[in-house]
Amino acid sequence: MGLNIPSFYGYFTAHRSIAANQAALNTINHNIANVNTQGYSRQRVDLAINSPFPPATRSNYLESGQLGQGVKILGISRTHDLFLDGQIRTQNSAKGMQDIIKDYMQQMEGIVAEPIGYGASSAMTDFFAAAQALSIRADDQTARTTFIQSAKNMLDIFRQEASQLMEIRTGVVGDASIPSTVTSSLAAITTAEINTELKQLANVNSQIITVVGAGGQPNDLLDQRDLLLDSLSKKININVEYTGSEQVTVRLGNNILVRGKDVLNTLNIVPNTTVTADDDPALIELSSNPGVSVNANITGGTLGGMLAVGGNAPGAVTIRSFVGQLNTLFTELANQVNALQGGGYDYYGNSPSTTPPNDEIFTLAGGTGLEIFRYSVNPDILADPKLIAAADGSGAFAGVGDGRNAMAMARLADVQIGALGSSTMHQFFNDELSKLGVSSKSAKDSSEVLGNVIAQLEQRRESFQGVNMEEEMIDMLRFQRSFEASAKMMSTIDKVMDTIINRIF
Amino acid sequence: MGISRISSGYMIDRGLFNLQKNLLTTSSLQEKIASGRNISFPSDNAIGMAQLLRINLDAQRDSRFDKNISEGLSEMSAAETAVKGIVNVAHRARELATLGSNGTNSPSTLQAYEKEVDSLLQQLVQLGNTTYGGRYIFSGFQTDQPAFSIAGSDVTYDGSPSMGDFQRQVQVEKNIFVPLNFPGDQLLGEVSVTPGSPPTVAGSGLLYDLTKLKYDMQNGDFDGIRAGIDAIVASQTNVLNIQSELGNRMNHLELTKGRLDDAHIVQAREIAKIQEVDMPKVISELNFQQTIYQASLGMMSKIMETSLVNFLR
Repeated sequence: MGLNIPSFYGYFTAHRSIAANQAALNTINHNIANVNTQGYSRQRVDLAINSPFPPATRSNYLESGQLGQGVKILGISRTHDLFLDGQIRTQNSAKGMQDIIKDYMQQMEGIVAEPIGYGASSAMTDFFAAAQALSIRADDQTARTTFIQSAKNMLDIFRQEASQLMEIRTGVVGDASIPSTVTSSLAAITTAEINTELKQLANVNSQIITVVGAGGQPNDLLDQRDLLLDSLSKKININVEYTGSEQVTVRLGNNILVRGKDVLNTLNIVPNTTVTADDDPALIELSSNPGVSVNANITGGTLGGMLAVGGNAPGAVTIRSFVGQLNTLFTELANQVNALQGGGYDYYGNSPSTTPPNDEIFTLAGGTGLEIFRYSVNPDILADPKLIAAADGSGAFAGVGDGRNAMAMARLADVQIGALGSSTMHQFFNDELSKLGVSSKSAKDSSEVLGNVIAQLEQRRESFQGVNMEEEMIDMLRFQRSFEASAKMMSTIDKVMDTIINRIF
Repeated sequence: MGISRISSGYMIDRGLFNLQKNLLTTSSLQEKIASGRNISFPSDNAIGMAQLLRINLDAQRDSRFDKNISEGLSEMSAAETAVKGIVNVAHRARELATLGSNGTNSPSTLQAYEKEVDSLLQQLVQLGNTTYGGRYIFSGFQTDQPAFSIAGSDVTYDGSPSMGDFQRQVQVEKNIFVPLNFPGDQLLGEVSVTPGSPPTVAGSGLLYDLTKLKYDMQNGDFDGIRAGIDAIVASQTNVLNIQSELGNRMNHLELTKGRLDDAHIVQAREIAKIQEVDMPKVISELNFQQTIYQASLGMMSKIMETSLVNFLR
């Protein structure tokens, strides 16, 4: 006995074929529509052979074999490489950080204005030259005025550079002594963006859970989530872990930020009120654990870069460290000059050490914070440059033409100073500038290299998941033709049925 | 892992990436040409910048030394003129002493000689009080007051004591100092006269010699005048020594100036080597870069034109 075929059997096979081809055509439509959409992964209809008829059972001896039941749609999948994603995100975090460091280092270089402009180094040279001139012409009012003006000019330049640098720092991470600057800093804005994206991520996760729960395949939501994760990874170093049911868990260090549809932690930025406030004006805390800084965990992304460049990690060149070195340099210079001023004789033959405050060229105001912002040139001496102690103080006053003490001030330029690592002042400054240059160069290079690596990875990802027009065109023709063939099949089967139903009798 | 599949987006991304790279290179070349500098920021070349700063520092310091030398030379020229005048005075005094030592001279002749000696004395004091730029150059550090003051027949040196320490100096090189002036008492000495019959003349140097000569002539003391000749010669030699010492110092300054000028040329060359852009090289690089850029643009447009879409009807 032969195989018993149900009468309407052919309709269903043709119908499945038409449906599969239609689904494929619509997917191609979707692909073409998204050819330029960022983060889009091309989609494919996964087709499989439908299980044959009749199914094999113990009671069913298939003596005439099985009849095919056509095609079936397994699902619509996206072409995507999670491994590439992970690599790209790691590099994104590193590049985000280096980009920020590079940008701010370049700004610092612009402010310091060496080697092309007039900066601290030139101002120091001018000061020492003025001291030289004074040593030859100690009796000359002009030489005295030039000396004290160049001292003031030098202080102004140092302070201007320091304060411009500190302003930049305030813009990045704020100034802990003014809490509002921390909460309006660039780091705070970035933190807010991160929080928004964490919430969006949880939201997308929740939608994905719903779709997957209903047995669906949320390709477009997955793409959207990948984009969010990419964007987050540029801002902060996150660990992404894929768990069952297409869920992701996002961690910062060991702390979970988002798990599935729940945001467990957002980031808060608070002004540092502890003794380390000068080193790290802004502290990032987790919403579930206030009072505990996680700055040490933020080692990548733009936020990581901001914390690094605005912080003061030992050994690193940061805005604060450079200002600190400028401060050390100027304080040392002021101390040395003041010591000489106190030990000489002024134009009137008086020893300034007996007539304070004339014993100081640079007066340090009381208070806290960097000395460089508290120094001023002694107003008495500015008003009467004859009070400059140009004459040697080792013996009796030798006369108004005595410029030996001024010469000693000029020769400070050659003195190796212990507090400056046994360098001269110029050497010290040049060393600091070289360090800045090297750090800036290294950040620039890293950023460039990482940019190339990311471009390579993204191109690889794009080559894998991107839409190719020709491919889609060819597929379009292919499925169009098979659609037409299925439709033809349908009408043929219909004609067969017509014969059976209408012509048999 | 090579790339085995090309997506439409890949072509565009890749093309844009390369165009960007070309543009970046072009803009950095343009920056170099516009500024004429290889190093605008420390990060452009940290080592080159450190060298540049060091050379600049040397150059700025040398230019200060150069100014020191110029000022030193001007003041020393003034001193030299004064010392030359003193030598001439000593010379004339010696002539007068030789003439006056002749015992046949009439009292009126001696009186005439004595008058001239007196005027030579005044010249000496005037020369000793030479100023340059308003400062008394033979007063040591006390440049605001005359080196010598006259009270009757006494001439006192009022400047800083004649010790090595009390010379004004200019720095002409790292660690090298050249004294600017000679204390006046070394140059002319001092003299004081105690009235009496004959008056007692005490002191040293030309001022003493000439005052002594004046009184000897006044008193017709021919032995004294004769003895004075040798004293004047000795003092004249002392002044001549000072004159040659001054010449040596000026020589030293001139030589240092020459050395600094040479160094300046070397420094300028070094700076140029590090900092100056090799224009022909950079411009040809720029042209090359532009050609590449145009080629990539052309290629991009060709690739983007071709698509299967154009052939499907």
